[in-house]
Amino acid sequence: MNWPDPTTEGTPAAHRTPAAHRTPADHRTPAGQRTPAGWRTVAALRTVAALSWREYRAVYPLRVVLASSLPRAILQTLFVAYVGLIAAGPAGRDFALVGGAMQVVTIATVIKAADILVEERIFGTLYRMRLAWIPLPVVAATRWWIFTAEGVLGGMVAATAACLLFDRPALMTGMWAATGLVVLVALSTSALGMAVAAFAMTQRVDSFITNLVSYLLLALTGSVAPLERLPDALEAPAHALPMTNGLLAIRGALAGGPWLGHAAAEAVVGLGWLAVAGAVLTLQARRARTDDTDGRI
Amino acid sequence: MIARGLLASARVQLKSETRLAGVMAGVVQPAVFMAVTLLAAGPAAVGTRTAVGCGLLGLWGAIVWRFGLVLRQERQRGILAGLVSRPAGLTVVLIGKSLGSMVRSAVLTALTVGVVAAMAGHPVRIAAPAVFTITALATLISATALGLLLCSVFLLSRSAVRIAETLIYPVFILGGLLVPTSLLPGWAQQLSTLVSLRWAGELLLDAAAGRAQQPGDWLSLAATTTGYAVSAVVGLRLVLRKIRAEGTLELA
Repeated sequence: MNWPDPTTEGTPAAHRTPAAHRTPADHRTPAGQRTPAGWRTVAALRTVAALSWREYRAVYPLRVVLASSLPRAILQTLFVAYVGLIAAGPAGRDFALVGGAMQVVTIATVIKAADILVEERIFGTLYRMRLAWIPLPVVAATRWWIFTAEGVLGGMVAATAACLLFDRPALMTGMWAATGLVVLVALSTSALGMAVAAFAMTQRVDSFITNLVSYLLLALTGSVAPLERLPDALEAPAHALPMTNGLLAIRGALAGGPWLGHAAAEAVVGLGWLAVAGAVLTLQARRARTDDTDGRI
Repeated sequence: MIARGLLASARVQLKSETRLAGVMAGVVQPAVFMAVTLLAAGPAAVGTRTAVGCGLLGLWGAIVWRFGLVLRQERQRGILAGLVSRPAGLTVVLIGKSLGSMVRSAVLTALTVGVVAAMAGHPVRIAAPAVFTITALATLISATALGLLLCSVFLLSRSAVRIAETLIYPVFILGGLLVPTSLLPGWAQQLSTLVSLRWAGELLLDAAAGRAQQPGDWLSLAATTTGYAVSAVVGLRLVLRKIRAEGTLELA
């Protein structure tokens, strides 16, 4: 989307260049002294983050968040908890409630956030992100922050509401205490979301791919049933998915057991997916330059 | 003219859809929910109730997404106003297109549920196939009426996708599709009587088990379906009149 650049306010429109598109030479103080490169990058990324917030507000105004996003998050968590209840009784309900709340996180970080890249392509503005002097993966990761935040908020609201409805106050306070781990899951699933979006952005079935990944996470990460119930061939690969180790960490913390090792594993998996996302985005950008694929929708 | 309009609309819709259309609601969603139930409760849990519940779950997903997205596609292609002014009318075209799309999704759902249950070692057995088929057709008619009712909301709002997302889970819970309504709080059980898929589910389960179907369930299915159909026709007429008067048919 095209937004006015607050860092050039007051400059005639024809002379403006968005912060992320300026070359290092453009960044001079009024006296002509160059500012340090690190600060220039930070300033540009701050602008990107602020514009990401504005874009989110335009696509998801408060009334949509209150009337659609949050009710959906709560109802989805309730449904998954009920599936756990009919499958394995009250213990299964509590187990699935935690998994359902974390599944809400992936709706924001994997499904919704993918639109960042897909819609730039549809609107024909993707080349502007590619031409920025800040690499495309860095711009994309910065823009992702708002969906990471939505994931954390949605997951925690859903967990709180479900705990209240099922009268599980201890589980609720436990979930609040584990907010840091929920943030970790949101970050690692954001990395997966970026990787998936980087691949899906050149496919006509982009939303199908992101939805499919979200459902696979529900089935394979131990959200509703313990990981040990997965077939042997799937159990080990499941640990390479974000959320699997994060859920083990959260449940470990809720039970007063060990969780740090699982949290570390979740962080490593997240960093791995971030590297994959960066590589795929760089490849896509290179392919777009050589094969002119930006306009193919 | 109505029958020709319905068939032509269904044919056009099926030709214009990609191969993956209907796969999410018809294959992925029921397969994943059956799989997680199976993993959580063990193979014994994959009885007819789970299979029928996951089938209805896929059908409800198909209703919401196909009716909502068909309408959105027509608007994006700029032919919605043209459809409203045709002799067959928007309702006939909408039912034809959505039904075509939904039937494909329903077939995929039935296949998926059958395959997953068989893979789990508990194939779905239908004790009274004829009664089950008749009940399934009645369920499809009820689902169409419900989808049509949603269309007036989708026509009024630019946030059709957001509305569709929000509508999915209340019916998953209240419709007793996978979760027995007896587990819900009292007030939610009262609300669930307004959801036709709940009665369709009870009738399908009776037919699958070879039990005598309850006349009360048929009456409830007929009453809710009639209620949806009447509300849909009146609602669509009112909404169309409103957006024609305001000139917002292609802008909403």
